[in-house]
Amino acid sequence: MDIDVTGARILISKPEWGGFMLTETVVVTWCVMAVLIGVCFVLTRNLQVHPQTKRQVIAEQLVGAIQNLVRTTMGERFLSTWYVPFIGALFALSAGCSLSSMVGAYAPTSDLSTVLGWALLVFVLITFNKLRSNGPLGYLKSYTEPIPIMTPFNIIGEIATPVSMAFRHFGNIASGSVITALIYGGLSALSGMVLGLLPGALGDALSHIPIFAAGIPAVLSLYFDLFSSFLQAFIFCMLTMVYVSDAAGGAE
Amino acid sequence: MEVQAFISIAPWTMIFQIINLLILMVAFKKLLFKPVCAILEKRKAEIEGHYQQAEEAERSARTLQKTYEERMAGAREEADRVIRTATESANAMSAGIVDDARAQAEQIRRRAETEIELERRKAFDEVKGELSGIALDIAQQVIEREVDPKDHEAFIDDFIKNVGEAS
Repeated sequence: MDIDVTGARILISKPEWGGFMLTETVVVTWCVMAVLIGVCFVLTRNLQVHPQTKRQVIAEQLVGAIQNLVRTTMGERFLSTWYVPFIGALFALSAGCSLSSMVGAYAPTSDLSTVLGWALLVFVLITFNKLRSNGPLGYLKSYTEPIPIMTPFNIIGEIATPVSMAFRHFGNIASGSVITALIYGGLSALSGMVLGLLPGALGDALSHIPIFAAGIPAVLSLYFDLFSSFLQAFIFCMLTMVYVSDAAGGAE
Repeated sequence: MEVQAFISIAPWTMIFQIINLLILMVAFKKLLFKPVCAILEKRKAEIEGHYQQAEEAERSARTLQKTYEERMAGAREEADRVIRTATESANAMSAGIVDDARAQAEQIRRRAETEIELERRKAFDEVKGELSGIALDIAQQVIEREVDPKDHEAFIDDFIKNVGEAS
């Protein structure tokens, strides 16, 4: 039996439009976004000053949790900015995209383009904050510190930030799906082999049913899909917050 | 169907994903954070309002209590004053009544004394008249002749006086 380890399927490809292509990644992301926006819409429907529904309590808890995370990691000054919804969206989209593999869809976060795009956005934020806090000259000067000869390493380090973030996230999610696929395939093959030893038509029939593939992959999926999804989303958000608040300098 | 390589970088996918993330950020801001924060602000304002109301109520209660206490103290003073005044006036009145009664009693006594004196004098005069008559009769019998009261007035009077002193 063959196990294909591939990327996302390409749904629409128009090379004449500057290499435009619409892949499964983007479509699944849209579905995840639709679900998340729908959840937001439902949670914040009919809000009351005196909460009467569980929905409102959940919504307030979610907002409070994200605000708290941003406050403790980035500081009070980022609390009333766009960073709070940005971190919330980043966490929700990352976790949601990773979790989409649990319903059988292709996980957009196992596509390097997705996480690299997000990491580039974070890189832009970091650079923007550095430019704002140090000024353009101060920003350029920071590459020559502590000694000018370090400049190439500083540049590499700067670029390494988004690249490492992207590959960490991509590697974890993608490898999880690869391992799940491998174990699933391996267990199916083992099942066919062992049951094929049974004599007569019975063994012939049972060997086509991958009995061993039931159960064990589900337990592994708990780690690779559920736990890893939230963990990687959390790590990505934490790194974003730490890098950005670091770039913004000390408390103003 | 075409399939991407396992590790591949597709610029269009990156652009799409960046835009998707930004769209979700705006959606979260508008749909989740803004309404929830607005509600939380409103709740905070309401709680602060409650606190202010409570403080105001406490302040007014304290003022009211102070006013009452002052008024109570004033009332007590007033009551004391009224009682004192009443006592004084009652004392004065009773003294007046007693004085009046004493004066009246004195007057009555004096009138009674006068009356008694008058009565006594009247009785004395009567007795004197009778006595002079009797004396005349006795004298007439003794001397067996008419005694003219006018001639012997001094004599009779003298006699009566002696009788009066003797009695």
